[in-house]
Amino acid sequence: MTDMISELLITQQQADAISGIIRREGSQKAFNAVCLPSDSLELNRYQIWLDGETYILTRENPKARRSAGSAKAGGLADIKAPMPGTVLKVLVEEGQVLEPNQPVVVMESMKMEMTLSASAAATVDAVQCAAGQLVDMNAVLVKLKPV
Amino acid sequence: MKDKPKKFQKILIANRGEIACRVIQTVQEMGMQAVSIYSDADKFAKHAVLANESYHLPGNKPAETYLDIPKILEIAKAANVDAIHPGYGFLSENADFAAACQKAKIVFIGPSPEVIDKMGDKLHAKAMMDKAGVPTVPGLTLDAEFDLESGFANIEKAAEKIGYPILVKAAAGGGGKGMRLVEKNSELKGALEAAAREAQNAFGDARVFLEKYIGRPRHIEFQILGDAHGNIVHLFERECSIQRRYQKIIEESPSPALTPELRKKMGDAAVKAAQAMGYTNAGTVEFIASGNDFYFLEVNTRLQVEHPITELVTRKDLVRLQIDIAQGEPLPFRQEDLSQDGHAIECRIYAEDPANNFMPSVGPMRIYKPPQGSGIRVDDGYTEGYEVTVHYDPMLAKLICWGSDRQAAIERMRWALSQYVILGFNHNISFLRQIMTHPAFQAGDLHTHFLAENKITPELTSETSSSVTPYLEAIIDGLSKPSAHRQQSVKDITQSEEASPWLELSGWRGA
Repeated sequence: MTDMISELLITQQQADAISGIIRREGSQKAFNAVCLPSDSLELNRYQIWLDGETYILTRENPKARRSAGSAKAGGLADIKAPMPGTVLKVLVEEGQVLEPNQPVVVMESMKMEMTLSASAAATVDAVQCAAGQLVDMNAVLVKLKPV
Repeated sequence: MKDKPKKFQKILIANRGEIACRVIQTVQEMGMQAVSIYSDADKFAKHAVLANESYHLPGNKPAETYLDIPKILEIAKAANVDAIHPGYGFLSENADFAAACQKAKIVFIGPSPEVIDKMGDKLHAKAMMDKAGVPTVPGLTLDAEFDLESGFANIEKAAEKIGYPILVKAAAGGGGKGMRLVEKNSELKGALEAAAREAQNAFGDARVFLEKYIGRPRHIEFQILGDAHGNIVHLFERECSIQRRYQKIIEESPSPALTPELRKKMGDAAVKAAQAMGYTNAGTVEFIASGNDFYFLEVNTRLQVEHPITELVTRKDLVRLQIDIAQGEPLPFRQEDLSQDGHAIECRIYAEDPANNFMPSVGPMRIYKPPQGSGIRVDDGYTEGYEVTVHYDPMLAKLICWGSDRQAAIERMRWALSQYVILGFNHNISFLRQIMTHPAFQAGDLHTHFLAENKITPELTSETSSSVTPYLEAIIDGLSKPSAHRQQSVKDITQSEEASPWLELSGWRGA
């Protein structure tokens, strides 16, 4: 039962997390702050606890070069996994025309089922997942194109 | 039962997270050894670290780890444990597991397999309560092997008879898993399918049943304890009416709705229910209440998530009592010895995004500072640096506050929530504070649709107040500068002449 391999889990060596106290206009407030993972290179996300409140803020990343055309024209969003999890059901086929709010994929994550639906009328461009498949957060499950 | 009571030396906790840590504490306090089990994802989890011995269950799926009866019993035998505490969830209400423990000559800390079996099946439980004279809700039982394709017409007919809205529930369920509200006929089939699928995934049992839906009900439950000598008492009520997605998020004891007369009536009904079952160890009789009426809902044959509020108002350690009962000892008190002192509230802290339909949130817990102070208790299962994963329930911790009365408990809870720091992913702490300050909550006007009816939706805490913005900008500035410049950047912001030691920002957890 003895395991000769040593493993370390380092819990407090954090480059982009700080805790401290801020003094301004004669009063002191405790704070804690971290950088959160961001979907976009152009934006930094921060989560800050300050004096009893937790804030989530987004700031433009000054270092990021603007990359053109990252967002799809017309605001038609592909069906992406909002969470890591398992695909339970794919309800559409390639070429199918979808109505707004039509359910597209049923997923399960943390023992909870969720139905992902089309945000607007669209045509299914490609189905990129299958029932039973484990998917990462933000994985494109179904590609959509305008009708 | 007639065996001479055996004192336990070693107890295995067949669970994870905060409840495993909670049980380990009492086991170790009692001078016993605590044995934990852990999945791949939980290798460095708090419960695995806290225990005296920890054993690995390879994999992450519940079915191959915390639900794997043969593997858990193998570990229990190899580690030579006297008893197993199942916590809540996982195998806690699994009669086969309790029976397998018995067969392996390991004491299962809970009621007998027969009682778990009867009560785990909500349909049997209901029938039994009807017989015992405890009031129940009208509903419809579906056959064990109902076929949705051929049998749907009959189900539909019966549903019309009960009258919409109707709740579809998993027969083996709990915690809102597999539960669906059906408003009209056309939604019934889809709800049955989804509930059965969810029930199959969560409990390995796809059976569901229908129940009349009662509007604006309160969820009030009674803690019961029975020993092996036939003594049964209740430890008063917990009101668990504040729920989201049918899952409790805030509980309190005493209930602001109960008069002493109604409390006595419900307490007597709970004891009567327990007597009808021949109940031993700790359990909970759940009721839904509306005005002065109350109906039996179900029996949870285990320790509840919200047990700490009962512990704080009755000043009893329920886990210690569970272990003593399992060792064959008689209850150390009678009903008339018990009373409620003050008021306790519990808030469940979830890794989720209240602003995005309570979608679970995951990630490493980058900074974690639970609140401390008089009358504050935190039961948690994570420590700073650990990863919250998709594999398990998103409940991180429970914050429990005691006050001399309800108002004092609410005020303490508000303060404690404001001092609770969790950074790294979304959580519901601000949302809980919002509920605590709501006039309807303060008035004690609670029911299970409280959040929807009072339109309590999460406020987005971003740059709302201009007075805070300069602070936040300064902190972001400190976060993005290399560490060598941190002290300087703070000095710039604060216009401070001299550097005093406390001004130094630390990348480490503050002293």
